Amino acid sequence: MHSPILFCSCCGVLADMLNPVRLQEKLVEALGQNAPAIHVVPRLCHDDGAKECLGKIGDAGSLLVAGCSFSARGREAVRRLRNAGLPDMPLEWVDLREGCAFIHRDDPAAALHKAESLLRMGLAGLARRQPRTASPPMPQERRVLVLGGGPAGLAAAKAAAGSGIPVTLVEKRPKIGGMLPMLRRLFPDLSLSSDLLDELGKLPANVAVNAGAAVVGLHPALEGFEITLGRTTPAGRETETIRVGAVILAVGAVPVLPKGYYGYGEVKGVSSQMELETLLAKAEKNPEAVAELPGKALFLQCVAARDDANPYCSAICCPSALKNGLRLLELVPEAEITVLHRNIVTPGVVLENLYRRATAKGMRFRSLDPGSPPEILGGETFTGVRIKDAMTGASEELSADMFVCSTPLKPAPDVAALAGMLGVRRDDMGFLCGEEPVHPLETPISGVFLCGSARWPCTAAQAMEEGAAAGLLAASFLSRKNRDPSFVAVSGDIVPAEIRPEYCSCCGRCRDACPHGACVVADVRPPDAERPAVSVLPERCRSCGNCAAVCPTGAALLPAASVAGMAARVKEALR
Amino acid sequence: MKDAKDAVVHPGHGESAAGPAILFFACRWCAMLGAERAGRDRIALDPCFRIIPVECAGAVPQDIVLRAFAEGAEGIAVLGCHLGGCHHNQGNRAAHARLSLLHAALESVGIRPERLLLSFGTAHEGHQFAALCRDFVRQIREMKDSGDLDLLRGTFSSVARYSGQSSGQFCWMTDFNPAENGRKPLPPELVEEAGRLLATGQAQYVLALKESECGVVPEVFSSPEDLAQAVQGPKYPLAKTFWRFMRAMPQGTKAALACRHCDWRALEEQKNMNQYEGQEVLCLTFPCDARQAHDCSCANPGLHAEKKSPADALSPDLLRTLSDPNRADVWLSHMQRCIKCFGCRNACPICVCPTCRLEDEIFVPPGILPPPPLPWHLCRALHVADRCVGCGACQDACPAGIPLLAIHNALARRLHAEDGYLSGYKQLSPLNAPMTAEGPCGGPPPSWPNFTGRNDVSAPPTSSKPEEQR
Repeated sequence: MHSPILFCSCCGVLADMLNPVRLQEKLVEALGQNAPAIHVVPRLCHDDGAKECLGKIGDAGSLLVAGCSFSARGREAVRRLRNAGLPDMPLEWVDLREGCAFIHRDDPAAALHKAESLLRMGLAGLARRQPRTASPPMPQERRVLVLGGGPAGLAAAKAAAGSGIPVTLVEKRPKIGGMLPMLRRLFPDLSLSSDLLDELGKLPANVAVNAGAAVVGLHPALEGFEITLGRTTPAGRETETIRVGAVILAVGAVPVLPKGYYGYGEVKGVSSQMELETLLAKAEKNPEAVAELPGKALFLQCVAARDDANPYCSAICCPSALKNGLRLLELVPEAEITVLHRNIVTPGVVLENLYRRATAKGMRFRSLDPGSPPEILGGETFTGVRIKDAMTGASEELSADMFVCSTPLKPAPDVAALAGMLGVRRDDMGFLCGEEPVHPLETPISGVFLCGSARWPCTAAQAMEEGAAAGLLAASFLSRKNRDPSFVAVSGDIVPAEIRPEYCSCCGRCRDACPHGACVVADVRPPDAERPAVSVLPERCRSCGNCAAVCPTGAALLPAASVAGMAARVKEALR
Repeated sequence: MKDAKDAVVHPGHGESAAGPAILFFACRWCAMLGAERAGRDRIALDPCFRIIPVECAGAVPQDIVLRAFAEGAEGIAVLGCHLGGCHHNQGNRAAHARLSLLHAALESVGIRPERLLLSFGTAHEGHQFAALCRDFVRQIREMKDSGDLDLLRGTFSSVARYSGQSSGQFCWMTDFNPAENGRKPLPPELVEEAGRLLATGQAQYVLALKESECGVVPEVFSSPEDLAQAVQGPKYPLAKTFWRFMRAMPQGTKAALACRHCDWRALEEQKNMNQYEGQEVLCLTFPCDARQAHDCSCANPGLHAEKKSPADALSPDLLRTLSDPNRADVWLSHMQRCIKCFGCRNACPICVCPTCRLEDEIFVPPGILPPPPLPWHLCRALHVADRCVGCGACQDACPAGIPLLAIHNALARRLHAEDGYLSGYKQLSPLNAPMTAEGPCGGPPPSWPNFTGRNDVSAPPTSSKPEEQR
């Protein structure tokens, strides 16, 4: 028995173009006695229309609605039908307005014929909706793993834990904080990093901190991910395995050392921003150490950046140079600071203001041509540089006590291994890739999220924002009960794919083809079972149908959009 | 819009409709939106096409496309999101990989590949969809009467138009000369190694061929002394036999197979398909001689270390079936001999499915002999495309002498040429788009398609390959 058809006449617009009476006649012609009745309703996208039609459906088990395109008013109409009391049953939406009447206005007979076959296709697909056969969905492990204890990771842990999800935070260093302990003050407001760290370190009780532990194994398991942590203790190396439902990668980035550039490490007086950072921190704590600070300093930007080795601008070295310059001026007010740069990159209002403050305080900026880098003067001790001015082309010598190289951040060395274990893509520079531009903090692997400098160098504030967002994403991922209902009217309720074991040869094609990492082949078959088990992680499945398309046996099945249903639509379309 | 002289009644869409039967599989995230936008803009289109919405272009199985051709579709378009902009990560890339292989399969048997249009990214805008739709309808309308439709539909209305080939010519069941070919004992070092495996318990059984009073048969050896009776040939689908043997054995069984190079690669593919979980499988191989390699059109008989393309060993007979301009007729004459004996499937070491689509009436309707060639032989070829090791067991088993290796070889050649993929060597299949650490498998990602926002709906036809659109 076919489902009844609701024909939304779109206040008469659609009924004028496709006569529902003629449509019913044609349907009876094609399907004979089994042809379903077409109930004409004036407008489904208004409450009055929705209530009116419920009586017409009777006790049918499924429903076909013909009207405008689903993206036009369909979603609204379905919502109103459900609000008016339409039971939860398979529903098919057939687009007769945009998909037929509007584009075939000059050939009404052909349009009517096409409308009839579109209705038959919809009915055929609806009849082959398969009931769910598999066992209830596997529960996801309600725990988030946060990798990295920097500002991003701490903020992520806080946000996820605040939503009621237990968190395991893993930091490979003995103490949490990431790069924060290496910096004394943070831009733009030169606040103390220890204050921020104290604030971030106040973690809720459901966060378990694992400092000094390294990830040695990480792979998808039935309930999410299985992670093996290794740590070195006085007793030797010990490992521990935990299961989590979601992973947040907040592994951060590491500063590039200017080794091999401008006599760094060989010439006394040539240092990096991180070393200047340490000197400044020392001088702040101990006024006697102010004497070690340079009276005349030269900062060189873009060292080991925007070249062949690191062909990118990390957009964080200019702000740190400005910050260190301002701090130096606070401690040594008469200091002369010249920044040699290709161009100063300070995106955003806050960082731009930092630049203006620096110019107002008397820091000088000289632009250089990247083709003619400065030449270091002096033998074992740095005395100055010879530069070629980018504008005038004139050669000039600048004397100074200290030459500070600003270097970018680069991906942490263990990122490659992590990305490989999880299947997360990395970009040309080696940073982790999210699903830019729409979902930058999510990855193709459901349940894996990114934040902070692991995806691109960022400030502590930005890392915390991203971390909080990733933490909430992970929490909502693990709390998800209802799936996206937007496709409900076109191909039925979104239900995850199923693998029917009696048909399955366990060939693993579904696992290889799944774009969301939702199909899992168990490593070892259970005792007494003929084959190892293949299963779908319902939380990761987004019902795209790739598994069913590649499954050679038909074991992988989308109950709402089966291959058999597609075949039936094809058959009706070509009838 | 409708031209009076074009109004030919066609059975594909019933009596009142004119024009070719065209199906669109449209991904609902891009192409469907484009189609709806075209409707909202009231762009007049030919009513001969039907759209089947799908969640992702990657959800369109190759079998369904074949099935639609067999049902009477004259043109099929699969439309998805821009490559690199798929809602389902790599779904459209996978769709592209799988369906362009189908493209190659259609071309190899002489069906005009233009009948299958793959387009990613041109359909998002209403005008682009309309232009694409019109071009495709016009293209299909123009090629309406080309003779490949018989092979498409399996109607066999024109019996054996092609008389250049007699049946049986393609039968490769070589009459082996026992003296020179095959029944040599196994190489001594292989026997020694197999004996060592048995003696040390690394393998409980060794499967090899053995000369008996009723010919050469596979034999399970469990003691090292008996191994002297093992022989090399003739060619035998040992990997399949081994698989059947191991299915009957309990978990924890350790066994070894003494076989040809192709059997070893088939074994690797079976392992890849998780067929030996919980069991330990070893393989001892010997290379085939040049004559055997020639007979099998085998590029990798195990004689050389470097892996070669399947094209390197293409025999002239195979080449003829794939390059003849009238190959649709050649294949029609071959396919008419199919008696649906399932021999090709049963001999295939890769066909390990508990249920087979060739027994599913959705794809191969029962009671029809010969079966429609597209669903039968192309469906099977596409199922095993990235796993097929080119051993030729299917062709050897075919009592009708259908040159099945030609289809398999054409697909393997394409996978090797486009993606450098050879089955049996533990490579990731390019037909899926799994994410690897280096990016999606199957070559570097193509650049973003060039958007020109084409509004001129009468612009020249869109090409059928997404590469050319960029």
